[in-house]
Amino acid sequence: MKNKGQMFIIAAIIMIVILIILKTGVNIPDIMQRNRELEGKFEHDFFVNVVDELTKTIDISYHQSNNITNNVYSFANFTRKKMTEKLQNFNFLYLGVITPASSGNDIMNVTVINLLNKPINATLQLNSFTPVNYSEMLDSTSWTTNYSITQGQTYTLIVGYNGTYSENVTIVTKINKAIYVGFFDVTLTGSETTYKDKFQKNHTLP
Amino acid sequence: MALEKTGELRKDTVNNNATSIQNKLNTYLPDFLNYTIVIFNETTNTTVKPVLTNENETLSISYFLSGDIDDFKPREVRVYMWGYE
Repeated sequence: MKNKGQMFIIAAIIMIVILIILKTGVNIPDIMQRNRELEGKFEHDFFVNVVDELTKTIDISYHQSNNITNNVYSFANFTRKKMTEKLQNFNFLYLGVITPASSGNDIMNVTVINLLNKPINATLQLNSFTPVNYSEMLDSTSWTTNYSITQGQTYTLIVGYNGTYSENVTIVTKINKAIYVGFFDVTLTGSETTYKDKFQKNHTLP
Repeated sequence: MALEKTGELRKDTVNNNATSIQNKLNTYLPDFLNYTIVIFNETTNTTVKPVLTNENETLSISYFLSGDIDDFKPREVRVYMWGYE
């Protein structure tokens, strides 16, 4: 695991020292090229920090399960605002799924968050059930819907938008255990690099 | 040990303790470097921001944190640095 925080800062200091050395030892085109490479590395480390913290939002909200999705939404909004100030771009689609601790039949709560910087025509489909649709889901909005489920079963939830994007999210429910599933699709763009990541996090709640 | 790995950075940040972060970093950074730590929430700085006499000669780097266990508080830790050339 990477050293976060402190190493991030130390890396920046090292970058500065390297730049000073470069300025005295190489010609201008070399300096500019190396500067861009360093900025790209620096930007990449920052983007890794952003994605790590998005996932950690689930961890720190673990004991307040009803707040998990809202907290991810808030942190994503916070991040996008800050990155916009730095002339960077934050694109994020999120799916948060929670099922209660119970046995038999119950409700699966599903929330889609659109931070893709554009309105989308969003679609959800659980197993072979009829898809549900939210047309003109505006940027920076969320959409919550519920499904009837049987605890202990495994489900496939398909999230899509605009007929061009589709991802399968596997949800393994557990009898008498509450679960939370987060699906992240994030694209971060800066002056030098673009960072894309798409992944799923599964949690059994206390 | 990394401050983030031990949880110190997270705790200091949600407690708005930029001085503690700065003190912990002091041992790792070169003496010639002037720097200060400022913590921001979504809209403004929550610790004292220095008066930067020449922003063109000041670098800043940011680190984002979502909060600490059971204490959701999105924060930006920004390090301003100057006097490096």
